Amino acid sequence: MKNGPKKEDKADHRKPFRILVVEDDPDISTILAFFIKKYGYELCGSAESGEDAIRLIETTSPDVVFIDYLLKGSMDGVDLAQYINKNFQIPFIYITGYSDSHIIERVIHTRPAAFILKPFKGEEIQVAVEILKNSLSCKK
Amino acid sequence: MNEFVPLLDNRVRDVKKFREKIRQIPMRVIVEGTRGKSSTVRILEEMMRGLGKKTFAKVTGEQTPLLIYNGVVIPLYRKHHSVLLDYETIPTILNFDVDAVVIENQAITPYTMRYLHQIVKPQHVIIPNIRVDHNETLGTDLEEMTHNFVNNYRTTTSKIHVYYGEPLEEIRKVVLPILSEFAEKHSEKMNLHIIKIPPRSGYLCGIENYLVDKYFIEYNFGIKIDEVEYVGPARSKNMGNTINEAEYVRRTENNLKIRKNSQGIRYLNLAKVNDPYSFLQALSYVIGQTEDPVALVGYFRPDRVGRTQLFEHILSDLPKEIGPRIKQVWLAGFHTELVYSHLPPAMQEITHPSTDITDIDSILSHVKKHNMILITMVNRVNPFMDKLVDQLQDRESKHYEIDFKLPDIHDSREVSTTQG
Repeated sequence: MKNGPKKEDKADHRKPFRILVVEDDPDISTILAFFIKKYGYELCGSAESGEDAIRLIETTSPDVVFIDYLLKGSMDGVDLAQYINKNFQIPFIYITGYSDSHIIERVIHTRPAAFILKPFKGEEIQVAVEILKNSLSCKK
Repeated sequence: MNEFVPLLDNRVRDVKKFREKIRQIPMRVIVEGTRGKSSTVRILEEMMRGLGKKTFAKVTGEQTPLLIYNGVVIPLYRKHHSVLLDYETIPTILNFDVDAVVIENQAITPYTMRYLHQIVKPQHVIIPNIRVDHNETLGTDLEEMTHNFVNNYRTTTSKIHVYYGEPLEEIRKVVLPILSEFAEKHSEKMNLHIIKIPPRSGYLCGIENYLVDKYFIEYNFGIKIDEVEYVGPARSKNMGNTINEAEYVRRTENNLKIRKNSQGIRYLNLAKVNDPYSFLQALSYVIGQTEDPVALVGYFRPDRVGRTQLFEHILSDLPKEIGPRIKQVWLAGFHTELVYSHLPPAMQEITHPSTDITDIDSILSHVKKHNMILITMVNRVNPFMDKLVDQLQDRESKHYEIDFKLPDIHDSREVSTTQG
């Protein structure tokens, strides 16, 4: 992608899209934070476990949550997604290293906005967020 | 209805946008045929992405259709219990730079297949195989089905490349003459270029999905797949892994690998392989990997009576085809008594024709007690198979039984799950 979507540019000039990252690997978390800032979004928090993520969602009200499949603590990414669906109705995007069809099936059951398979490139983050932003604006 | 009309109106608008935008994409590919279309699309999308091509792909998916753009997978959901899917995402993706589009053409009816051709106007059509299935709508035999597939090309007036990957000689010799005859007959209106992928010695069920894509890449880009730097879902920590042919063979074999769940039940889900001929090939492959007894369980759908009939023939021929390795068969769903009545006595002796969803626990107990490998068959999408496969996979995964409740989100020590 050269310059993101050719249309829907107007939305880009409004307040930055706020993203919460839930990822157990600090290296991946750092890379995600880098790309989030690079593409003009706002990182509103990072968590390594589902429990910490829930606290951060309550306090920061992100526009979207990036969720890794494996997390620290007693919840995995799918547990967290189910909790978000039940309590917050915030869109979430999985970032997972697992392409096994059983896991993909399980992940889709939670109705994510998208999922990005590791290893990912920065522009994949941008693509996923821009598609979500457009989808949200269509629903308004 | 109040919701449906505006949604339908939106759909007409979206389809118009889609048609306008998609025809501007330089490379347009449709994948059609009987079995393995989704895999063929996914593999080609990976390969194209590995070549640096911005690729937009669509697959039907088991639960819901999936869009894939540049490595991002976007599920499409139904809106407000409507029959219409959230297709507004597609025009959004087409606002991005797209070098190639690869779309699975669901083999539902001749009309729906041809409609996609009319919209997309593909320059390339990939057919991993054509097998007898969906014969309620696509034709009663292989000849008629093939005619329905080649009729899709009537929508074009320009050059169209057709990549045909069927590995089985007995099927090639039926399909290829029909393709060639059509190309010759309509040569004044269109330039139908048939690329025949040569079969390899030996047959691994499903490998044609990879081989047809490999030839597509070599033909169009002049690049040997094994030399391509792979950036797709190699996953794990192997970033920048190089995919070669052995990796795709490994994946194909993995699809036919007998799994074992945490209860010790060994199983393989072949209900996804719902063309009977492929099922027989896959079953033969699996049986060749083990000497243990095998049990089959299948569900017959009322709207797939053609498939029911074909599986009746397969079941009747099993003793002849693969010997006495099948020790138990459970048939659930519709017309099971009729199927049972047509089976030879040797098969009737081991077949339970009136199985229902309440029998799943006893089926699982039986296969475990007798150390059988349970193989699912016929139809994947139905409540019986959903429950059975879920139970098999639930027991495989420690996460599946979680009924997640956070009694107090401020004290994570109270969180109780089965994860351990």
